Amino acid sequence: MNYAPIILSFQLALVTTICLLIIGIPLAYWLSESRSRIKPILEATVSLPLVLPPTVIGFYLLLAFSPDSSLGYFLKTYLGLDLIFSFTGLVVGSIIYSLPFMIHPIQAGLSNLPKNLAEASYVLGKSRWTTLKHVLIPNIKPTVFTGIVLSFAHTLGEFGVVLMIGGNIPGQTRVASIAIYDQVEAMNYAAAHRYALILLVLSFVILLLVYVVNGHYFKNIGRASI
Amino acid sequence: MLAFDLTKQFGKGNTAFTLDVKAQLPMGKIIGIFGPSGAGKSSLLRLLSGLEKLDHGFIKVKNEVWSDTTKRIFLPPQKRAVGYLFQDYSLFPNMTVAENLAFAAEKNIDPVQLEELLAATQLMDKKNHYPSRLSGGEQQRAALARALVRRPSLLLLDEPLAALDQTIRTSLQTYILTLHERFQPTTLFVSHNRHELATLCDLVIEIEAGKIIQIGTPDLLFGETQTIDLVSGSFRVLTLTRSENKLIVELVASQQKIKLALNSAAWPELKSGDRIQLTEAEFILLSSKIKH
Repeated sequence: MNYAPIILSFQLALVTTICLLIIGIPLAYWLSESRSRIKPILEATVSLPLVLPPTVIGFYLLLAFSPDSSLGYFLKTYLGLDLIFSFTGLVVGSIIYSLPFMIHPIQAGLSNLPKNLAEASYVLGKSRWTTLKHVLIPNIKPTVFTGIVLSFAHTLGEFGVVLMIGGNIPGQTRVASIAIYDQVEAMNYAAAHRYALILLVLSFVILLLVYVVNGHYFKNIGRASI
Repeated sequence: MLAFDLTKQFGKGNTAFTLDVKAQLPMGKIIGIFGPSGAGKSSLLRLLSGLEKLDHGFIKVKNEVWSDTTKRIFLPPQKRAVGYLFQDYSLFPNMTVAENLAFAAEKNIDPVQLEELLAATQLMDKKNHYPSRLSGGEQQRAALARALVRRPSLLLLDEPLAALDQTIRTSLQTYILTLHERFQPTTLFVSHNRHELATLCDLVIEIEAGKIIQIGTPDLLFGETQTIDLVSGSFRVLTLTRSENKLIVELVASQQKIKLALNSAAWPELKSGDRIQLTEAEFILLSSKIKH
């Protein structure tokens, strides 16, 4: 059995999740605090991947990243980035596709924290960044953890976006979900089954981990020993 | 001197509420803020701390302008020397008592000072406990110690004793007085409780529907003294006593004798029998209520 698609899926999920964590925390913080008029527009944009078929997102990303488009031309000419049929392109697509899975739990966690907690930090002379880092994030650990795990698992199972912008290049863009599709098309059900079973088991273990860890965390809070 | 003259509208439409207050208050005292729910007591603290911005007006502490809408000055809460004790204490749940205090401290603060605060609030044996393992009274003391870490010029206490039972309230009043005596911050203390205000405060501001209606000593506000009209105008000085910075004068206004404390430097030549022109912002009433 060729494990390359599984390894590539994990690499994609890991890189995407790290990028999402870096982008997601400040964005979720801004969304939880902001009273700006553009906030609903940004919230709707972040949530789009939840309702759109992945092929629609993949299709528009394909058009946007194509060297014929202004963006694609700019990226290729000035930054040397060719996002079509490349691992980097898959990462960018996955970040957009999994964005709500990171943003929503963290935004909900921050919104549910008492407002006084951040204000108490501000009147102690602490900046917004210090407050976020030392007060807010440590008090929403379970939701950050949920965001990380859901983003990872969601990227792991990605198919439509990957197929549209990455194609099916072995070792570069052929992730596990594409490999399953390939094997089914070739009527090789045994190989498809092996890939599918690995993804199924891993996804289940990841979700189980979320529930166990979060349950343990809240139980500890109940025992008054955060 | 803590001086403010400010307006701020909260909410919109039918629920709109405007806070419109003006006062000059002496530094280093405990000043109570009294009034019914929704009068604007907590809103005033939020404006003083910089958690809310003024619509119009100014806030000055000593000679420093914290906010002035005409000069477009606004110091954010981080830049104001404020200690704020919230009604729910708002201790950080992810930090122990000692960590809460250390977080509040500037980098150059001597750890001995933190130990001193823990000792003053009798929390030495609880310093490694998380807030969730503290009683209400202990949480209040920890939050008070944390608010004092940065040696604030202004300590804002928003109904800090409201959620506690009477026994704990009484003992915590003693803590507040002891800590105030030791660290001398100008303290604004919001409360509904007249007895508490009478015990703790040098001066009480009564607020109703967003306006200051009286300023005076607790005895005067809560005692039997007759309320008089606003004292502004020209008065003959009956008696006069000078101390370091203060000038205590006795005069007749609204057909009754009243005693006022004035800034001594502003009246260097004043003597008994002179006439004095006063506006409400220039004095602190000592012996009678004032009606705004």
